[in-house]
Amino acid sequence: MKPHVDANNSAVDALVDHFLESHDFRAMRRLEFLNARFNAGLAMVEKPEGLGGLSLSADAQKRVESRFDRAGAPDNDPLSININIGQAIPALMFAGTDEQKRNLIRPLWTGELVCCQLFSEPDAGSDLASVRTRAIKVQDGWRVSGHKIWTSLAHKADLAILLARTSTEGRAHDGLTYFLIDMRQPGVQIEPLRQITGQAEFNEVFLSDAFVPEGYAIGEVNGGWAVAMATLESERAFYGVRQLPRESGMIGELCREWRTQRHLHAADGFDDRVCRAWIDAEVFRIANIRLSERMAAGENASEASGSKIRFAQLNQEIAWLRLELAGAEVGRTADYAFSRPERTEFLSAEPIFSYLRSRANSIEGGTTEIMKNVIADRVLNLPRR
Amino acid sequence: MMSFSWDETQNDLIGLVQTVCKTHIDWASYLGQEDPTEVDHTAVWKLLTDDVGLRGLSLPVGDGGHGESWKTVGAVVYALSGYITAVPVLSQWVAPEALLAGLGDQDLSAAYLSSEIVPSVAVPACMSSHEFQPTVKLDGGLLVGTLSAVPAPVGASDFLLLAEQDGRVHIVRTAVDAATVRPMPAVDVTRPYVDVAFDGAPAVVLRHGDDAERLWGRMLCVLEAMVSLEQAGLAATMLTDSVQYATERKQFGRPICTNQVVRHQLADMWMNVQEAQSIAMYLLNCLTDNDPDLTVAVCMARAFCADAARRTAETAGQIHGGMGFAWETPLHLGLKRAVADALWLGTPARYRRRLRDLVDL
Repeated sequence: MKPHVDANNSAVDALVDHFLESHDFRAMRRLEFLNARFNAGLAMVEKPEGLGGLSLSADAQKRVESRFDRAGAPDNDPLSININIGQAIPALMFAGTDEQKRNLIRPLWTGELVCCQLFSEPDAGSDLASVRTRAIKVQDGWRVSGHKIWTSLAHKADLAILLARTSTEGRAHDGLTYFLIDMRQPGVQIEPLRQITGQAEFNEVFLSDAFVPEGYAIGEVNGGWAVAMATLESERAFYGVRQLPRESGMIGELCREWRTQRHLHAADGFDDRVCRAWIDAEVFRIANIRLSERMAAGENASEASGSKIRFAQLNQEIAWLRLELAGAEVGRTADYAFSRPERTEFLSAEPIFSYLRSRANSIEGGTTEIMKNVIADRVLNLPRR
Repeated sequence: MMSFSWDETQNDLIGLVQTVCKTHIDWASYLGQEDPTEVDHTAVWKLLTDDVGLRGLSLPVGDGGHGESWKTVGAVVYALSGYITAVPVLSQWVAPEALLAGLGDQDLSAAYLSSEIVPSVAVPACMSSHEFQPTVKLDGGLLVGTLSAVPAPVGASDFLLLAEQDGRVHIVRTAVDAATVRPMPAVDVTRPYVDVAFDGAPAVVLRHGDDAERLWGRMLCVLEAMVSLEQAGLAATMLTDSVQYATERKQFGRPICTNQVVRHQLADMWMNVQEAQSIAMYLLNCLTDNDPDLTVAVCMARAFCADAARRTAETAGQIHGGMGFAWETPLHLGLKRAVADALWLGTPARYRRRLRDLVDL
């Protein structure tokens, strides 16, 4: 790996300021501005030149983001393209060819192309290696058939990262290939999957002889498992490792509600429970700052699994506290109307929605049980037999 | 920028301290004796203070010390935490140096550095940095009153304590010999406590008024940070012991760590250890950098690390099965230290109550 170039804070600030002087975002279309930012190497500064970066340290990225943010410049709305940022780009960086990187990383970062994830199947959830969707080699590419499930934003996506079986020889892990597939083609049929909140963030995707052209396998044919594992860790990191200020997210909602309603709850014992939740949220936040320091120092990426587990536990614990605080009247805000949201929202001003949505936090992106297996296997290195 | 890891010097110091402990402390053979003599780690303590050079580590260079930061002191406490040593690291090293550094009395510091006096800070177990009322009165230079459950002055010549005169707090020094010292049974035999009674013991006033209050509060903050680190280190040791035991212990013809339930218990312990280390280190950074978040950090770390260390020690006992309940397995020393630490200088519930006031909950 190429050593990171050291750049002090003021040098980083100067790069951003210089870019903003020569690119007036108020006079440019958003995509045009983002493309220019990518080409200037200010998209993901830790990446090499030509791939949105300048080979700077990962710390410098935070500085860049806040500098753009302070200037009021539009960003790439990373939460609306989390598969692009959290998985597709890491997969390309991990195993893509130079040509794939050159052609795909820019539109994935700007959000010009929106990517969804075709991994889980009705019979391949936690046991992801048992994927049965087949990709058959044909002239100029592959034909893919199978049934995928739990795909967020499939109906908005231009393309998908896909895990499909290219061989039935050997161990289940060894016959999978990691593809990029065009979602807008006749062989791809999308059905919304309604969930307990009433919404349908997720979809089922039926693939019938859908086409993947040559050059759209990421990594080796039959080598997809390693790519998927490397990038799922990024997804876990995406859920867990985000540096936010104190009282952000669900705990912030709880604190606001508690501060306006606590006079109604004297001697109910809520005060200590709210305080425990506050401490847990703060410990989670601080542990994540330490975790990102460890990740930057090249420590074991599997450590992010702990963060994913705690994120879910914390959200679920606080979501229930909010319901208990609200009492039976909370039912008035229940709204199970069908809708297909534009993005995944864990947090809502409606406590009942937050509570129900939080139930999935310990399932999606790797169940709590699988995450504990990862810690036991890859962090504690416990022998399996 | 705050760092959650130790620097090179701190890592070297950790290595030195661990080597001394590893070479001189053997709990398994001690506990296996039928009629053991009293625990005596004075030789270990002498090696640490004199040879490793802990004495004076955090005192300013101008007062003859090494001028090291609280973070470096924390590295020592963290290194010691895994060995359940019976050495007065908190009451006769961390706390006196915190006071001496603040007092800036060169003669007193010199007397401490030359071991002419061996001070032991007499902190009652229920004191904390946000609640400390003197229980001893100072009148005409003489002390009258009692202190409940203060660290035993093992080999110490002087007590440093808080006394009250005319409604103002005073930090004073008095000879251990001038007081009536009654040992009390303790949960953790490596951290003995005593009750102390003064009936006209002559005392020297070192500080009084607001300065004394600030200095004593600061010293208690330092102790609270060090106890949190000790709890984090203890939790880490409990995990390491449990991983080793679960890997070696066989039942049903295979190591017990091959059972998913045991694996998940160990994963839970690991998460707890990471969190305790994070928050204890955050507090240590706040202390070292004089961060305005210090008082909040104290409350969070004390409440959280107490539970994390105790839970980790309890789960370690469960993983060790019957052997975890046996006297001869040193594991119970860790559980007892976890219990003693959790209840010393205020309980987790007390710190949560204080935190509610600080952050308006």
